[in-house]
Amino acid sequence: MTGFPILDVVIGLTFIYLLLALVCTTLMEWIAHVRNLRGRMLEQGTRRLLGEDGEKDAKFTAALFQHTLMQDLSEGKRKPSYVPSKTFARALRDIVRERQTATDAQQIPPRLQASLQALASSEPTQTDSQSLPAIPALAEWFDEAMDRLSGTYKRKTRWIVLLLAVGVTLLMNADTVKLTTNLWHNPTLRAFLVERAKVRLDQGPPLETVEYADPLNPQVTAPIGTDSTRSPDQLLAEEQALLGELFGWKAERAAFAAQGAGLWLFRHILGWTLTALAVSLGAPFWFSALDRFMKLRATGVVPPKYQAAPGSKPA
Amino acid sequence: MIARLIAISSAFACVALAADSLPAQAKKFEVRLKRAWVQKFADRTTVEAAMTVRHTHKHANSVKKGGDDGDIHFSGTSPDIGLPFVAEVVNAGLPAQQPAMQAIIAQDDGGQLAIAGAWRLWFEHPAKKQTQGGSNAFEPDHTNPDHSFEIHPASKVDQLNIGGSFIPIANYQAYDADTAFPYFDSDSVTIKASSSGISIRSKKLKYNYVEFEIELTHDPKAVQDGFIGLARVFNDQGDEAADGTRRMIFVGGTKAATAIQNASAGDRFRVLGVPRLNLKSVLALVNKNGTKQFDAQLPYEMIIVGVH
Repeated sequence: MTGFPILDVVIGLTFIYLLLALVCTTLMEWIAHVRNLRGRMLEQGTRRLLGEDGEKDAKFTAALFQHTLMQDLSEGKRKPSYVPSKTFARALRDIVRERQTATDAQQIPPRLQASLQALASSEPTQTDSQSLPAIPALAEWFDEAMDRLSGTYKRKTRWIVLLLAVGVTLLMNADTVKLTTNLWHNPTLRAFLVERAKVRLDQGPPLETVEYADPLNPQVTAPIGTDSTRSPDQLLAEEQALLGELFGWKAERAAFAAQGAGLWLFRHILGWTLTALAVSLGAPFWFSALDRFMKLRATGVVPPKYQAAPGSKPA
Repeated sequence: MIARLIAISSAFACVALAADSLPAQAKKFEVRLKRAWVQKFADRTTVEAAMTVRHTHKHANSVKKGGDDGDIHFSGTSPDIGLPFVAEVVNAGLPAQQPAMQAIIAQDDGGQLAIAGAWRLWFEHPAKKQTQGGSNAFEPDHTNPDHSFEIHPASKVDQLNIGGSFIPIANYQAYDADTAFPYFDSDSVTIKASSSGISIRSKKLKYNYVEFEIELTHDPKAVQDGFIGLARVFNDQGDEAADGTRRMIFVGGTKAATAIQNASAGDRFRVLGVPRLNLKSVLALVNKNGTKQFDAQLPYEMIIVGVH
């Protein structure tokens, strides 16, 4: 414990927000996977890029996603959730060429034709005989569109995360007011949460890894997406038990009877609102906050746990 | 009651505000590599790349200390690397390097170069996140974009062999062993692997050129493109500057490699070196930890640029 109980209260709160945010992250990932949110958003963004947004029957986009290179990225019937820009560029050139030579150029959406012409004219030395932009130019065009799409995805999922935060808060009865009061009056609980927070910090913030489609090929190729080994995002069994002990609905019947409906509701609505808002800020925010508060609490920087690099200085 | 609720709400607001204003953690730069690529280069001294040159300096740096190291810097991309990178020729101002200098400068702004040299993964000018083979921003768009990968020093530019540039830099004040090695040994990295990728997180690292003494503990081992030696490290007073041994990398066909190729265990040399990540150690750590995230002492080795 420090001589500043308020700091330990803050650390305890931050740690609990982090755990609840991790629960929301896990749920969000599950929803995104089940609903294939990324794949659907990618298709929607591609349709817009190809000038077919708002059209009921986006034939050109469908043809693009049917291309062999794109099919290789799909998992069964699921649309790919990530397309390397060069793969997109190659598939697009194939489809456009096919349609140009098949004399049904009218099947190329007019807006796409205009975009391709604009790209080709901006880099005249890199176009081919059929006035198609070069692969790098198309890839860059796709990357720029995907950057914008990534922002849109984050904005859209923010609302889902907020709803999840409200749901998790209510389901667990995670009341900030009640928790703060408990932490302030219970030094043992404060000390316990600070210790648990240290364990969590030792794991470090989740480090994202990528996967490659050809793991044995040492040639550099485009990654196919993030991996599924996200252990730092998962709650430890002790942390799950901790949340179960801190929150819940068991004691609420007695509190409701003692305080009356009005006061009970007023106190809880404030506590729930604060929790839901905090949790919706996300796990990375609270992890970073926890790291900073712990450093503030420490008298010096705690040395990290090293593993000696083989062939170097012994541990 | 109301006062207590207001106090709690205020405390909550303070938590959120303070959390955002305190200094951020230092270790925040990430590079994600392809595991098979790492395995290929772990025991190689060099890499070859078809480079698209984005920007080049027009002259060699002046020679003094720190960044005034006599190198020429040029930046670009290559499908063989998959990361924005910078290449550097040491002793670029010497007459022997002028044909290579002209070849490099001629390719400024989009030209192609076949380049080879010591690969160097090091978080000296890192980007927040870069992924090998991914869509990495080339920012800032000049000779020194955010990068964790370098070909430094270069040993070949097109058909021009510049292995002769691997000599100590005259009149350059390098960092000493007592400054650099304790710093390297006190740093840590965070590593996590997937089945086909390896991610490494580090803080920004410093101390580029270090001058020190080595004593080989084994005969140098010939590898495909040079020599790798295990050596103890000493400072100017003859005291050990780092416990245990470090890997020393000698690029094949360079003056540095020529100087040690017939050396034996126990031989001593005064050398100029630049640090890079030791990918062999990274692989060993990854094999031990599987897909679990872990912290480890900075795994590094020294590319020997010159032997006195």
